[in-house]
Amino acid sequence: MTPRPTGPATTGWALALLLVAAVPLAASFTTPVVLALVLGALLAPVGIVALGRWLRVPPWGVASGGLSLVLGVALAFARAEPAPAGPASEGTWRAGPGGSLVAPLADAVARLLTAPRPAPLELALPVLLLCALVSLGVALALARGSAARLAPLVGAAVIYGAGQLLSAGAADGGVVATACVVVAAAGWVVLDGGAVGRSSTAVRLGEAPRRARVAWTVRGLAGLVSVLVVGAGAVVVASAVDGRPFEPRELVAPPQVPADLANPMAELARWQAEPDLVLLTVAGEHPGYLSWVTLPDFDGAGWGASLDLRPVGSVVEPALAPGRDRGAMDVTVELVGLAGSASPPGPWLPSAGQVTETDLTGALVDADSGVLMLPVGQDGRLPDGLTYRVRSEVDQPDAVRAARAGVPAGDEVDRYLALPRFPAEMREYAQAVVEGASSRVDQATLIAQEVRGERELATDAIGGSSYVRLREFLFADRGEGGQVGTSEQFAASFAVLARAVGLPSRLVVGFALDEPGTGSPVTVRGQDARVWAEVYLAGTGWVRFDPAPDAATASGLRDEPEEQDVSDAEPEPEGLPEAPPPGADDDPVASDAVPDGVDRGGVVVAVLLALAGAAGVVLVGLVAARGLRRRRLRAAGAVGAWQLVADSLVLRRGRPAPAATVHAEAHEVADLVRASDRGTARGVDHEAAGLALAAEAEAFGPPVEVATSDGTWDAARRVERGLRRGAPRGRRLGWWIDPRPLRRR
Amino acid sequence: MTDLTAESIAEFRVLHGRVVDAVEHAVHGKRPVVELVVAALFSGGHVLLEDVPGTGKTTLARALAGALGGTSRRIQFTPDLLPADVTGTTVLDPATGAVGFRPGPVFANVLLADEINRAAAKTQSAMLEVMAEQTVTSDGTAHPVPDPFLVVATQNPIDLDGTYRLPEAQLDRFLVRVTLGYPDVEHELAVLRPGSQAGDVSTVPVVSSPQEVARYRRLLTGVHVAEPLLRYVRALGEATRTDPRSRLGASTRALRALVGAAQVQAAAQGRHYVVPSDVQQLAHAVLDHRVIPTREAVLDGATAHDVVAAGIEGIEVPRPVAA
Repeated sequence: MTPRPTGPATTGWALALLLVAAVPLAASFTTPVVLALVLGALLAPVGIVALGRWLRVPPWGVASGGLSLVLGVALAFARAEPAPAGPASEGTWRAGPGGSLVAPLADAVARLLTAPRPAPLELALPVLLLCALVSLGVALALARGSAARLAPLVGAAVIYGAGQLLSAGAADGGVVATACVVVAAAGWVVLDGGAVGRSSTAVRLGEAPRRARVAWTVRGLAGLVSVLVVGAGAVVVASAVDGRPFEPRELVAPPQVPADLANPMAELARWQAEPDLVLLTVAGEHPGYLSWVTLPDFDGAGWGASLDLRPVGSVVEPALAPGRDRGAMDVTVELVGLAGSASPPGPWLPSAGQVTETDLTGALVDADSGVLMLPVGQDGRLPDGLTYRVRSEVDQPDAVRAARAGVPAGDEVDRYLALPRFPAEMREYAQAVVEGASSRVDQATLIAQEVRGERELATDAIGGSSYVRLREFLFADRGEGGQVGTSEQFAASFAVLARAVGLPSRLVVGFALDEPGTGSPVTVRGQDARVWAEVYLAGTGWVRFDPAPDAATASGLRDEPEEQDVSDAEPEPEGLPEAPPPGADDDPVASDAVPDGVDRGGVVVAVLLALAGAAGVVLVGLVAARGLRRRRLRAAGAVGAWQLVADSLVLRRGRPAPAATVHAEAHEVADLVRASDRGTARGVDHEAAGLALAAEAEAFGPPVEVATSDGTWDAARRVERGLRRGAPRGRRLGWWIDPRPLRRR
Repeated sequence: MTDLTAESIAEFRVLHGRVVDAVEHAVHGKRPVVELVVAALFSGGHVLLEDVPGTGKTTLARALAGALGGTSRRIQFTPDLLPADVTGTTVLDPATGAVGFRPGPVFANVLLADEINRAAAKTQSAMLEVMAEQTVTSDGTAHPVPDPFLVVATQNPIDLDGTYRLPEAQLDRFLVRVTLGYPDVEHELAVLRPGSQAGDVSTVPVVSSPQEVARYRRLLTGVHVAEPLLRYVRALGEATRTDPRSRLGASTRALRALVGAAQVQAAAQGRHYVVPSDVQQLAHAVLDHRVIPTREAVLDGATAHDVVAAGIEGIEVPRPVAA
């Protein structure tokens, strides 16, 4: 049987389904205007296909012409879009030199994936192109009529999937997906095979064989069940998987930012030599410290950082997942000694935690280290008087959770465990220090206590953090330059020894404030600059350890129960087990821990609520559709009245045989009513026969003006009541929501 | 020209009932068959009665002729019957010396062609040509047969030695093929009772006239047939053509005949429009003899009746549908 084009009802349903599925995609942008543009991108290909059919263009011509038109328009827009200018250009994609014709389009995708989230309107082109292509494919499929049920669903899945990918699953928590299922189900229930085959009398007259209609029904139900099963499976899998959502941005190489940066350690000594030098002022909520530069890489001679910089707001997760206990902080920083001509060269900006927003145009951030920077001019210095606001997510590790936490294994941790050419003497020392520790936190605490020991903090001590300097600091006598050092040696010694026992660690150069801030401005001076170490614990995040003996710099952290300061450390227990070797695969999280951000009970409740809501929507939709059908039938005279009777007959005993005429059905009605209620049977069976006669006269007689009579409708309702009265209880309960009459014309 | 009114429909319903009643004076217990034959009469078709001997085929034909009051003739077909014996021939009149056409027995309003399958193919062909053309052509001159002209042919489905089976194209000329069958117990006992008038065509009253039949033939073409019904009829024909058991399906002429018979059936029930049940009730009588099953289907026990029944049962009947 040759497929036939679908009618406007099916096309409208398909468009509605695609539009609903596109909501997460549009929500990934800063402006709702994108949703209107998406609607346009969905409608335009449908218009193109309709125009092609009207002009009798062959299907391959419509397909190739539509595709060329869509791609051509998209390419024109892509090439016409001006390249970004200013500092922001450092963090955005641009067409490379000698790019091909389609390079602007390819760049548009890369630019969208590397842009902050939500993305600006200017980057909506790939999204609109995707919607237009999907809509074109669906419209072509509908024009052929061969995949009228499947094509809109596939298109909606593609668009919805793209939206979820673009937002890393954040754009929809399930509401849109549920709405898609409801819209798809409604279309499949209301639009039957006749609507797809054609709405004319062909189906009624048998040109569409019965088996085709049955096949349509079976395929529809199978598809619906498949969607529900797959959806439920996806929810279950999503609730069971402990991991981050797939992030397509990780597949796109970030823009390379020039990073000819000076070593910040050198500034530390200068600031500590000028303890009263005002470096910056801080206002707002802060955790009691501000990090300036994070140094995760150690080569045996010194610490450094290779940054993976992206615009602030870009969707990129750090290689090591942040802690589960986090808090948002909003701080305003005014640079004094850190900016201007007298400031040290460097683009770094003090901040706390993982920066998510800033009012600085062109600011870049490294997701792994949290380093915030602003591309600087020729002199390599930040502009004088620079003031900015940053909003950050800051780890607030819980002491109980940290006490049970292990450390993860894998490539992403290797960077924080690297100890090239590590002296055996120091490794043995580290392992001896942590001997008998009962947990990873205990190990870190023991190392910090050991490093602090009786050693002296001196701002004028010899700098450096090579193995040589650290061995001298740790093992040499005071007279030989040992046992005295700056905060750099204390922190670096701790970090190296921690790595030696398998604790991922890094150094942070920053500023210690007096106490966690709540709004009042704080002036940060040279004496506040220091270096501390951080250790990563699974599920807990980066935990600060400051082994330097000056209590003043750590005083702001002591009251925090989750902070592991050496002064609050528990005494070393006896019989500590041997520390695991470096790189050992600890349990990444404690046994009683739950997946990040996942509450299984909540998920189940949410799924149940979503299913209940979907069922409610379907029920309301069915009641409304049945009500509308009754209203339409009532206005259709004797034919409508008979259809009400025929609907009731379907509800009572299922679909009639194809060859059953109206008279045969009227006889069956009489038999059914007579069998269930002899008292009213006589009147009802006569009324059924009369309705059948009147309906046939109206339907098959010559066209005449038919007056609508309430008496006819009332008679039909009496017959309906008679049929319902004798129906089994289950069918009586579902009488008003049963969708089977909706499949009849 | 058609001028169909509610009054004329009512008049026809009465007339139809009178004709059927009149025929039933001689043929007892076969009202549905009689109604079919009368429907064929008013829709301008011919009837093929197929049954074993002694079931009333000839009686039915003669009673029908008697009820109409027109001329009726009977031809007993035999293998040596010549076409001229049926249609007539040109002869020299010795008295006048002129050559003139002597009409054969086909020149009658009702012609009973008894055991038509016993005539040679050439004679059958001449007979069937008259049925189709309503004229006899002799020496280049066309001689129209009376109007109305109804052929009621009979053939015996058993004892086929020495018979010439009617070809498919000629079977197609018959509007309906009906089988009388044996009467039920009650009616057979009534026939057996001494003094019964069953089979006595002389008691059949004249209730109509050839002119009246001709007028209603023209009038009843105005009975309304809705577009869905026409599509339904076409779908039925298509089903007989595409059924894998069918070697030859219903022709367009057959479907046209089905529509015409349904129009008469509707008017006989007092309706000026055809309904699906009219078509379903007539489908077997009109289509069965025009459908030829394949040899394999025959070996499997399938008949043309089965093929038509499958079409009726499998195709969705038009139903009243609100716009």
